[in-house]
Amino acid sequence: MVEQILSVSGLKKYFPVQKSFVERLLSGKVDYVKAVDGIDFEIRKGEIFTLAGETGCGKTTTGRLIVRLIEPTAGKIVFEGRDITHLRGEELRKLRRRLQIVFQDPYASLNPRMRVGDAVKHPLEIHGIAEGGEAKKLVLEMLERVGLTPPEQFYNAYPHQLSGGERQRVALARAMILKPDFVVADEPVSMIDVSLRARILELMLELKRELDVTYLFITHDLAVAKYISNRIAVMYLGKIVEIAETREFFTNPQHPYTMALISAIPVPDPKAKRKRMILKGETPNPINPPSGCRFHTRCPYKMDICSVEEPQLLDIGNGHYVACHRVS
Amino acid sequence: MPPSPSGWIASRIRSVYRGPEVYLTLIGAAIIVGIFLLALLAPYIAPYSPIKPVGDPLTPPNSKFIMGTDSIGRDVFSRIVYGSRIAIVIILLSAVFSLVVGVPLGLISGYVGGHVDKILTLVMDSIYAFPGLILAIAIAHVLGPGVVNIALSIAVIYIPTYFRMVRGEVLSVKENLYVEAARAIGAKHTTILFSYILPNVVPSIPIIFSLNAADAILVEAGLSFLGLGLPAPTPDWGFDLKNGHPYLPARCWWPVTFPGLMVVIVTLGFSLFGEGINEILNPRLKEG
Amino acid sequence: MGHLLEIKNLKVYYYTRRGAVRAVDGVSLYMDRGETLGLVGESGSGKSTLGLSILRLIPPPGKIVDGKIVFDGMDITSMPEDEIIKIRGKRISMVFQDPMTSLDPLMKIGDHLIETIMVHENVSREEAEKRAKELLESVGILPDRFNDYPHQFSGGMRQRVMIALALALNPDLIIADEPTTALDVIIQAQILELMKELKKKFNAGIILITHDISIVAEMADRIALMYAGQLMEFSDALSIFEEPLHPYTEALLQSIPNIQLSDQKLRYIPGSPPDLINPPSGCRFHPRCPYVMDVCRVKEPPMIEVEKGRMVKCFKYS
Repeated sequence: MVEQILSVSGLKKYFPVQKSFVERLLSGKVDYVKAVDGIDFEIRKGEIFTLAGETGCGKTTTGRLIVRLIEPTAGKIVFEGRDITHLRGEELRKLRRRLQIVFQDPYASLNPRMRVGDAVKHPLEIHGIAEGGEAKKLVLEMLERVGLTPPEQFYNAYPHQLSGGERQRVALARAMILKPDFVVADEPVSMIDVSLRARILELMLELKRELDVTYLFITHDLAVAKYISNRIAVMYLGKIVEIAETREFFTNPQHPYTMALISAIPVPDPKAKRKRMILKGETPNPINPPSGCRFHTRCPYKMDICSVEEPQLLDIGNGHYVACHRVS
Repeated sequence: MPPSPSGWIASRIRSVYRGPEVYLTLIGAAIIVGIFLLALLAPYIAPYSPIKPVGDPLTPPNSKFIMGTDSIGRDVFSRIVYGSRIAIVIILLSAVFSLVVGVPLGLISGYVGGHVDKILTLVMDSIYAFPGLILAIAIAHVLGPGVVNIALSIAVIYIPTYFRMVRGEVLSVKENLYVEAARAIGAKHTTILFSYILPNVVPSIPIIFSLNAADAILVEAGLSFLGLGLPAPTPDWGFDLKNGHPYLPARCWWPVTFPGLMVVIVTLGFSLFGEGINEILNPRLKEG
Repeated sequence: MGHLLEIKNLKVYYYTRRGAVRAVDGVSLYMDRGETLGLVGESGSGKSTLGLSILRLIPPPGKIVDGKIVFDGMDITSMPEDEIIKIRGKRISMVFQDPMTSLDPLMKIGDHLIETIMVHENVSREEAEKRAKELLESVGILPDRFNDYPHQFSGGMRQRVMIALALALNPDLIIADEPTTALDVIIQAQILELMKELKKKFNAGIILITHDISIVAEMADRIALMYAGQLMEFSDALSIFEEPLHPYTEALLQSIPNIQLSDQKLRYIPGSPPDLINPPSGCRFHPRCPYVMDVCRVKEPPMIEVEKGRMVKCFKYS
C-alpha cells in the first residue's frame, strides 16, 4: 500500500479584484477571481503527479497554495499527515525544509546580486544545517551533481553570466540541497530553450531517484507531461476535470476538454495523423464562470443538464476520475 | 559556460570605462577630494587667520591678499579655505542624518505596508511638500544657531527624498520572484530585508546622497545669508556672501564672487560625481 | 521563373559596446511562390533577425553588413527607404509575436483594416470597408465585432486580426514571427488550422519563424534550421524529420517529447548555447557535436548540397 504524502480537499483561492474608489462606491460588492474553486486530489509518495492546463486554469495558484506561499480561502492541505493549511511563522519556516518549489522563470527567481554559491548555500544557513566551509563543500557537491562544472567557477559566478538552462539548474540545486521530501515544479522548462529542456527533465528524474523526492509537476505542455508523469490531472477554470495514470490518460481520455487538449498538441512528425478536436470560443472569465459545468460553453457534447448542474469528480475505475455528465 | 568570475562592481566599471561619462565623474570626484584636502590642510594653506583683520578693509586682490580683503579687513582667501571646513562638516552631517532616518523608515514602510505605510507616507509627503529653504528656516529658528542644529535643519528637508526613493525601490523589489523564492526556502523577514531587498536598494542611494550634498550647500549658504546660520566671525561662505553683498554697487566684487564661486564649484562637484556613480551602479538600458 | 525570395550570404551584425554580435553570419536560402518555409531555431539563432532583415526592419545598432536579399527579382538589400515602404505591407507583410502591442489601442479594429487598405490602394471607403469585413470573416471574426477596440479582444482574436491585416493587400510573402508562441495550446491549434486554410485560399508564401519544430512539421513545405547565426540544414520538411542530416537536427529531434509516442527516451544536447560575440572557431556546433572531427574545430564547414534541394553545413558530408 503506497502511502499518501499530500492531500488536498475542497481547496479554494479567491483573489479580490482591485477596483477604483469610484467603482467601489457605485457597485458596493466585491468581485473575486475564483482562481481555484474547490479541488481535491492526493499525491502518493515517490510519484510524479502533474497538474496540467492552460493559462488561468489555476494550476500555478495551486502550486503556490501547496507550498504555502499564499493562504487558501477555504479547504484543507494535509502534508505528511499534518494539517498545514493555516501554518504560520516559525512552524511554516521549518516546514520549508521538506517542502520546496522551483519556479518557472529562471531569469527572475535568482537574486541578481547574489553569487550562485551564496544562493545555493543560503537554505543551509537558514535552517542551520551547515555553515562556512562545511556548507561550501555541500554546495560544490550539489553544483557538480546538477552538471554545473567546474563547480568552483559556477560557485563564484553571478546569475547574469549564466544561460537560462544553467540558471534553472541553480534553482534546482537550491531547492534540492535541503533534501526535501516534496518539490513543486512550476513549469520548470517552459522558459528554457528546447534543446536544453531534456537535460533539466533528466536531472529532475535522477534527483528523484537519488533523494526519493515526490514531485508536483505543473505544466501546460502535455507532451512533457506524458514523458515525465506517473499521473496527470487536468484543470479548467479552477476545477479539476480529469485525473488518470499517464498511460490511461492518453489512451482513454474521457473529458471533452482533455480530448481537445491532447489533440491540439503539435507533433514533430509531418506524417502524423492530426484529428483536431476544435473548440469554439475562448476560456471564459474566472470572475464569472459559467453555471453548471464550466466547460459547457465550449463543449461539443453539451447536454441540457450541463448548464444547470455541476458534475462531480467520479471514480470510473483504474484510478481514473472524470467530472462530466456524459460519463456518469 | 560563465566567463571567469568577476565582482559585480568590477564588471560594471569595466563596461562604463570606455564611455565619456567617466570623465565627468572623475572631475566631480576631483573637486570633492580637493575640497576635502582644502578643509584638512586649511592651517597650512591659508596664509592668515580667517577671523582677525589683517589688512585694510576692502582691498582688491593683490600680491599680499590674493583674493582681497572683506569689509572688516580679513583675508578673503583664508576665509574661503577655512570656510571649506564648515561646509564639509555641515554637508556630511546633514546628509548622514537624512540617510540614517530616511532609509530605515523607507525600508520598513515599503516592506510592512498597511497602516504603518499609509501614516509614514502621509507624514513624509507633508514634509516634502514644504519648500525646502522655508522649512529649514523654520527649524533653524526653533533650534537656534550652531553647527549641529544647522545640519539638523537641513537634514529634515531630505529625509522624505530618501524615504520615497527607498520605499519605491522596496515596493518594486518586493514583488520580484527571487524575493518570493527567498520566502520559499524559509528565510525570515529580517533576512529578506537585509540580504535581498537592501542590496538592491543601496545602489540608488549614492546619487541621492550626492545630490543631497550639493543641495545642502546651497541651503546652508542660504541660511547663512539670511543670518540664521553660524555666528560671526566663523568663516562661512554664505555668511560672507551676505556680508559682502552691500558693497557690490561700489564695485567691490571680490568679497562676493569668491565665496559664491566656491558654493557653485562644490555643488557642481557633488552633482557630477553623483550622476556618474549612478551610471555605474544603475546602468540605464542604452538605446540602440 | 526564379525564386520568390532569395537570400545570399546575408550577414547582420549588432554593434554593441561589448563587441559585434554576429546575429546572422552568412546565411543563404530561397523560397518559391505559395510555399511555406519554416525558419526554426532556438533563442539566439538569428531567425528573428533574418525575418526582420527581409523587410529591412533591423533596429540600430544592427546593420546588414554583407550579402543580398532578392525579392521577386529585385535587389532590396540597399533599396532606399521610400521604395521599401511601398513593398512593406503590400507585397511583403509581417505578423509579430505579441498581438497586444502591435495594434493601436485607440483605433477600432475595422478602421485598422480600412486604413491599411486605403493607404496602399486607390479605392473608396465603402469598397475598403467591404473588403475589411470579408477579411475579418475569413479569419473567423464575426462582422458584429467590426467596430470594437483591441482591448475588447482576447489574445487569440487579436492574432487573427493581425493575420487579417497581413492578408489585407494580398501580399506575395507573409513573414510570421512566432505567431502562436504567446497563445495557449488550444488557441494555437485554432490559429494553425486557420493559417492552413488561408494558405490554400490566398496562395501567399509564408515564412514561419519559430523555436517549436513541431509546429513547422505540419505547416511547412521546406525547413531551414538555424544555429548561432548560421544555417545548419535546409531541406524539405519530410526529409528533415525522417532523415536529419545535420548532427544538430538529429540531436534536436531526439530531445523533443512526441505526444504520439510511448516510452520515449529523450536525449539531451550537452553544453550551452554559444556566445554570439565570440562564437566557437570552425563549426559553431562543434563543442556540442557527438560526431566532432579535428577539422570541425578549425575550419567552418561549407554548405553542401547532398541531394537536389537538401543542403547541410557539415564536414560529415564533404
